[in-house]
Amino acid sequence: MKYYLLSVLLAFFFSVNLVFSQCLDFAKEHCKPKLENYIHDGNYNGVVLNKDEEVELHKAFFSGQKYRVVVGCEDEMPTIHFKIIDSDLNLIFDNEDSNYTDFFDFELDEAKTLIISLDFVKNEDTESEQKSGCVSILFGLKL
Amino acid sequence: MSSMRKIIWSLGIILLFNSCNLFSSKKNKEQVSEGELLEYQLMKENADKMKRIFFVLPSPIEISLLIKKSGVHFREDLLNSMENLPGYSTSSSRAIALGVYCADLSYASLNEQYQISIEYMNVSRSLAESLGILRTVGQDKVRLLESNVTNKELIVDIVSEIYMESNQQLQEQDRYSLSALMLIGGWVECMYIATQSVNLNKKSHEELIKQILDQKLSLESIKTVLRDNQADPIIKPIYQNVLQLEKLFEMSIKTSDMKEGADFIDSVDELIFVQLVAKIGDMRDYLVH
Repeated sequence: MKYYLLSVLLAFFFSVNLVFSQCLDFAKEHCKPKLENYIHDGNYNGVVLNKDEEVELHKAFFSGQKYRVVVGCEDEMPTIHFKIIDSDLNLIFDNEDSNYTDFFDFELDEAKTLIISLDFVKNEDTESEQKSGCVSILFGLKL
Repeated sequence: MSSMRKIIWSLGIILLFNSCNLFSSKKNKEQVSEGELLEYQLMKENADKMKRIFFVLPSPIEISLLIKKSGVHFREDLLNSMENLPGYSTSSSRAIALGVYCADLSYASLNEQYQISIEYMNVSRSLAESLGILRTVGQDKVRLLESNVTNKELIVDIVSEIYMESNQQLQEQDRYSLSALMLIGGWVECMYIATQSVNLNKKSHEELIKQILDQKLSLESIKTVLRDNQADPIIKPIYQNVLQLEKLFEMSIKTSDMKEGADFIDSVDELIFVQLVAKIGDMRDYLVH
């Protein structure tokens, strides 16, 4: 009984940590290279997202700095749809208009808080039955 | 074996209480009016539609890069001395110090101070190890750096990895308040470097003044991170200080008596700006000592 309970607790602990580590490794191996000649800012924004869920990131961006936003998800998941709006809800970028590209480069004239929202493209024929997967958003800075 | 029995008994009692709560909530539901039921349904619908929202702080690399681009010179005397390291004996002080040293490391490396960068990198790695977050940087990158210590991009890449891995591993280990302390330590140290480098009377410092005041936008993310961990006795006073800082940020730009076409620097309330610099200095003192 003692060993059974312990093994259940250990299995739970390791499975939670494994998901965390897997998503971080995914971000490092698949998303970070897409920053190319932009330096990663050091923030890791990764989460396990269900197919029907949406994630939103609020972040301040500053003038005089060139930024690159890169999004990525596991191969088994549908295509990522992401858009960027400012705090007055003005649309700055929607990757639906750019063939669902996975990055966007920009520079602002004045500092602003931007909201990056991300979900999966609906009604897309995917063979996989996977309901959720790692997604990550990384920010790059031009030195 | 007796402790095992206690655990099983405790679990049993918890389950019993939970089942009691379930029954009582069922009874209450039967008594609710039609209006309340509608309200409940609306709330449930909204909750179903809810998005997962995250607030992101600017990293030490980002703020250090903005400081560098504003054109001010590097000042070694502003860094948190490595001699303070032995004084960081608790997990909280080590997490704060890790954020602070990551900020110093970012500032030094972006200003091409290679020797200082290597020293601060060793300090950061040692702090990360003492916090039990060992998987900080890939050994291949460290070996590459040893053979090319003047590669700025590589150093900044390693700094970004130390920062990302440390913060992520603290979260993985459910040590959220330590993660918050690390993030706030990094932000305050960058703000300390920026505010101590600035001279209000120098026209050439206008860009840095603007960058400092633009950090007002980061306060929303900072407040969210701190608010979520306010139960921590070390975080509570920091949160109070951030609220005071927010007021100073709001008051630092004059909204009236401005002539048309005046420079940005003319819109800055000098007296308030000095108070803002002092407040950041106080916060930094609290964090590093």
